[in-house]
Amino acid sequence: MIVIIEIKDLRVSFHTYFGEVQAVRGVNLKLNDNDTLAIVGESGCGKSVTALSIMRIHNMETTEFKSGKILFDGTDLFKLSEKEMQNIRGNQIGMIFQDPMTALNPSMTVGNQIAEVLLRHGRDANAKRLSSKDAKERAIELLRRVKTPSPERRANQFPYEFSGGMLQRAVIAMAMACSPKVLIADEPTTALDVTVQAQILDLIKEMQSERRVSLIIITHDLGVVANIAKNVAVMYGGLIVESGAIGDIFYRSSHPYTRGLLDSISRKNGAKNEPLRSIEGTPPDLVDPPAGCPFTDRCEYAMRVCKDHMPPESALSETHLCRCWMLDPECPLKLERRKL
Amino acid sequence: MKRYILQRLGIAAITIFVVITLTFFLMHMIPGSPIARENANMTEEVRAALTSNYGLNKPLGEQYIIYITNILHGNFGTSIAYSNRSVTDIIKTAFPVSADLGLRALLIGVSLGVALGIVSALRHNKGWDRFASVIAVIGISVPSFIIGTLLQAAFGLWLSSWVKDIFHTSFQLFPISRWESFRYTILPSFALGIGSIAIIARLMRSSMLDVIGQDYIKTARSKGISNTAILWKHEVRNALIPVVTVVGRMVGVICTGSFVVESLFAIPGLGKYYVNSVTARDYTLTMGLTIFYAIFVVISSLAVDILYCVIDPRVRYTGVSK
Repeated sequence: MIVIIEIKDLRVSFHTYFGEVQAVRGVNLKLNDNDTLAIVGESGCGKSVTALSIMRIHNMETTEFKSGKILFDGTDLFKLSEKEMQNIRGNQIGMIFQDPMTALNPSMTVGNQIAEVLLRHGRDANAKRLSSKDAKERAIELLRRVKTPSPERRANQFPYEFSGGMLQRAVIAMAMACSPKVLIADEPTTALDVTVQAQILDLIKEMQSERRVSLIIITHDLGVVANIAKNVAVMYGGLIVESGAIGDIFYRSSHPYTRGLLDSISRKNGAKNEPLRSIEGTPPDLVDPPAGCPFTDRCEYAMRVCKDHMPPESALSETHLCRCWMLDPECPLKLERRKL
Repeated sequence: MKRYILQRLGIAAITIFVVITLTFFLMHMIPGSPIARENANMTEEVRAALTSNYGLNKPLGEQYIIYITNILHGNFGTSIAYSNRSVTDIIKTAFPVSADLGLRALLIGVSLGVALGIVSALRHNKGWDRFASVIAVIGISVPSFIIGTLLQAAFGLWLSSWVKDIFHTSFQLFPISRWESFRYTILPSFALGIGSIAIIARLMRSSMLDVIGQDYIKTARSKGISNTAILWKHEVRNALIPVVTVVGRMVGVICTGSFVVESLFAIPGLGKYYVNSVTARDYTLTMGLTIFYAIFVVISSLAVDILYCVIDPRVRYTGVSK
C-alpha cells in the first residue's frame, strides 16, 4: 500500500474574539493510494478543518498551524510556499464543497469556471498550456462526463440556472478536471435533496474508480460512510477517537461515542414505536478544552480517570485504533455489546 | 430586452409628466411674480404689458395647457429674467460645463473610491483601513463648500504664494476660479468628488468583505488560482455590483450641476441658473431646467439598470419578460 497523504500530529487553532479555539488537537491520519477514507463526526469536531488543512485554504489571518506536518506523496505541504501550494491545488488535490449553490461564482458561466482550472493547470498532448478554446471544449466534455444533459448549452449558463444536484455535478467536474491524485469531498451530499444524494455519491464513486483517485470524504451521515468508505476516522472534540477499516467501525466499534453515533441511526427492523436514540448533551468548548477525554461529560461509562487524563490510543488490531480508558487492561468496565 | 426598455421608457414618460405638473403648480403657488422684481420705478402700464406678454394674466389652468402644448412642440420658451435667451439656449451652453465637471468628479469618486474600498477591505482593520475610514468620515460629513474653500486656500493661495516666494513667478498651478483649461478643473472636481469617494469607498469596502467571505472564493482558491486573479476575476467583479447602483444614482445628481461648487469656483454651469431662476421666479427657466433634470435622471437610471444586466447575470433573468 502506498500512503498518499499522511497527517502527523496536526494541531490547528483559530484566533477569535472569544479566545483561541483549538479546533484540531493532534490528529494522525493516513490515506492510502486509491483508497477512500471517511472522516465522521458532528459539527465543530474539527473534521472540515483537518481536511481544509491539506489544501491550506483557511482564512490565514485567523488560523494558526500549531504543529504537525502533512505529507503528500512524500512532500511536506507545510514547507511549501503559497505559490507552490497553488500548483498543487486543483491540479493534484481537488476539492468538492458542501453547498453547490454558494460554491460557484454567481457572475461567471459554469463552463468558464471549469475552464478556469483547466487554463491554470491543464496541459495538452505536447505539454503546452491549453488555449481558451481547448479549455472550453474540455469543460464541455467534463460536463458531459458528469452526465449533464446538453452540456454545450449548459456550459454557457450561470449557476442560478442550474439545480442543486446539477451544480454539484459541475463542481465535481471542476474538481476532477485535472485528474488529481486526491479528492477531498467536504459533506458533498449534505445540502442536496435525499433523492439526489445517492446519484451524486454514485457519480463520485464512478469518477474515483475511473481516474484512480484517492478520496477523503467528510460527513456526519453514517449511511454515506457505509456506501462509499473503506476506512473511517471518527472525530470528536478536535481528536480522532476511533479509526479503523469500515468493518472495525460498524461491527467492532469500541468507543462509546462511535457506539452512540451508530445507535442513533434509525432502523427499519427496530421495534415499533421505539424512540430514536440520541447522545445527550453538547460537545465541549474548544476554547478551553477538557484535559481528559473530550467525551467525558456525555459518556454513560465515564469514570474518574476520564475527566483529567487523556486516554492513550490503543491498537485493537493492525487497522483499528481507539482512544478510550475502557480499553485499558486494568479497567473493570467493558463496553456493552448492542446488536446492530 | 427590447420590451423591457420600452416598458421602462413608458414609465419614464409618465414620471416626467407628473414632475412637470407638480412643478408647474407648486411654482405658481410661491408668492411673487417674475415681473415684480424688475425695476421698482416701472410704470403700471409697462408692468401690465410685460405680464400679458408672458401670458401671466391668463387663468392658471389655461397657462398650464399652453405650457404643455408648447413643450410637446419642443418649445421651452424664453427666460424671463435673462432677456432674449431661450431656455434651450441656456441649457445648451451651461449643461456641457456642468456635465464636464460632474463626470470629472465622478471619475475621481469612482476610481479613488473603488481603489480605497479594495485596499481597506484587503487590509481589513489595519493602518490603511483606518486611514480610509478617516477619509470617508471627512468626505461624508464635511460639506462641499467647506472642502472647496479649504482646497482653494491650500492649493490656490498658500501654494501659489509659496511658489511665488521660491520661484518668483506668479504662475498659478491650480486656479481657484473660472473654467478654462485642465488646470482650472482640478480643484472643483475634487471639491465635488470627495463626497462620492467617501460613499463609494465605504460601500466597496463592505461589499468586498462580504464577497471575500463567500464560499465561491474558497472554491476559487481550491482550484489553485493565483491571488491576483481571484481578486480581479472573482472578488472585485462581484463586489462592484452594488456600487454600480449607487454610482448610477449619482450620475444624475452630480452631472446636472452643483450650485455650491459652481458658485464657489465661478463656473458657468447649470446649478447657478437653477437656483437663481427660483429666486427670480423665472417660471419658464425653472420649468425647463426641472424637466431637463427629470429626463436626465430617468435616462441615467435606465442606463444603470441596463448596465446592471451586463454585470449581474441574475438580473437578466428577472429583467427580461419573455
